[in-house]
Amino acid sequence: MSAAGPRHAAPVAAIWAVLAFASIAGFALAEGLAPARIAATAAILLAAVKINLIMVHYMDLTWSHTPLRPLLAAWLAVVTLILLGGYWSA
Amino acid sequence: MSAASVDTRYWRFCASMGPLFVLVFYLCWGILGHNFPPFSPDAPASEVATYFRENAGSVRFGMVMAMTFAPAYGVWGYSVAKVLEQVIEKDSIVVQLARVGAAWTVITLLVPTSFWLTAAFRPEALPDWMIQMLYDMAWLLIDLAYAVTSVQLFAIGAGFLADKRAVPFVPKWLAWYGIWVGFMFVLECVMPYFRNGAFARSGILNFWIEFLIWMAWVPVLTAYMFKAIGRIERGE
Amino acid sequence: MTATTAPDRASMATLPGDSGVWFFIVADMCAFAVFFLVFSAGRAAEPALYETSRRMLDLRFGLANTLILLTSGAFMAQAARTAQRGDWQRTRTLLIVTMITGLPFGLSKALEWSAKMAHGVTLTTNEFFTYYFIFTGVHFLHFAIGIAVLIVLMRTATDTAKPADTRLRWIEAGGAYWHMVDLLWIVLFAMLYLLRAA
Repeated sequence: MSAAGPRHAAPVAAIWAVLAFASIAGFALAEGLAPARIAATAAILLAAVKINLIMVHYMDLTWSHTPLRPLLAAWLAVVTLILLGGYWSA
Repeated sequence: MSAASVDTRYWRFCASMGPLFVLVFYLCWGILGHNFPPFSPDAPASEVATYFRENAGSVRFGMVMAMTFAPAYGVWGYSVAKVLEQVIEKDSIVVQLARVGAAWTVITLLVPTSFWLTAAFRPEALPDWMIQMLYDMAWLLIDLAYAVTSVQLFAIGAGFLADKRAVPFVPKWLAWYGIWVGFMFVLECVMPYFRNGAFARSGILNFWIEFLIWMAWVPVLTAYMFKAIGRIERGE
Repeated sequence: MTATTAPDRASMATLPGDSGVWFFIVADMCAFAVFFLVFSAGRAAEPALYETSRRMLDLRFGLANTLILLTSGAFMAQAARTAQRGDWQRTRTLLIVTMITGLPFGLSKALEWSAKMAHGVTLTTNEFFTYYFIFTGVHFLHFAIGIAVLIVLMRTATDTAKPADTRLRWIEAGGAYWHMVDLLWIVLFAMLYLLRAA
């Protein structure tokens, strides 16, 4: 909304390509490309990376948006730890 | 609309009925009636029945008080609707829905409490399964009647969001919080399918979170109602 | 980033969308975080049950749903950027494309659910499927509301009776909600479909 125009210069199509590639990679690893523990851990971490990309480039949030941006970052960290913890403690 | 002086007599008294209701309901229905938290649906009938027989006196007192104070929720809801009339036109359907949502909620509190009271009336003469059935029936009603209260939550949320004042009577976040609570209640739809776990009537989601987010909404909204009433009296 | 960094006021001034809607989004995401916690605790307690159940899922549906929502989300992001430039006709077109690319998610979900039910797998089959149906069901409810929001936004985009900043605010707010539907699915996809046990 600022006069400087869009805050994030990265083209939406480029972000989309990264997100789609990460999704397909997570799927391929889970389908047997990698040993189970590696595939599952990678799936959780890839999900975190994708969500962070969405927050930055799709939701258009920056760290100047307090307290929202830190809150969402904390949410992502907690959710990632919950999933990793649940998987590795099984 | 608020230029002419508004008759705010009794508004504060009625608004204070909300937190009072939450307190009395928590203590009498919740603690004395063993509903906060409830018996797990998994608990054997004998456990529920034994509690009702051994504590018949306190359960009866708890339910009598809960029924006596249930209308306090409606009285509170009407005071919120009066403040809402200063935000949008009196005849708006949103104000009407905020009002009847509160009134209907009273019924969804009164009827199930009478079932728990029935179980405590002559528990020594009732078989275990019957006391359990009354207990289940009351819980199924009080939980699945959620949509009645959602009507009130949505109407109050939508109504106060329409406030054009520079500093609205109810902050945006609180209006949206109420709308969110109304949506969260939808989870009660799956409550009848579970006898244990997060979605059972005693579970983390369908009991702890659902009841606490609603019980927290009442006093917080009341605090803003008191501020708003002062502003209405000053003609803001 | 711009030079205006007087902390609070600047953050409110440049916040995309609507602060009230953001509050709703954060509250909703916290409710889902509880879902994820409940699931993870259940999985840790009974990994074998969760793994045999997970193997009954068709991962291709999970991937397809992810790609559908990511694609729809990309058009939504483009719509918001276009609205920032004040090109309302093009914003409206992009919102329509956002909806059209998003709708197959509903179809895919219906196919997936009905296939499960045809095999006698339901809400009460076991703990894994309880969570599977409830979480994806609640998520679907969010998706359906999102579609309704998109339809409203299409009108908003070209509603000349509303000032431009109001239109932009609601398009950004609706967009933030739509992206939330997307990112919650990303967690569900990883959690329900991809956690292969060793």
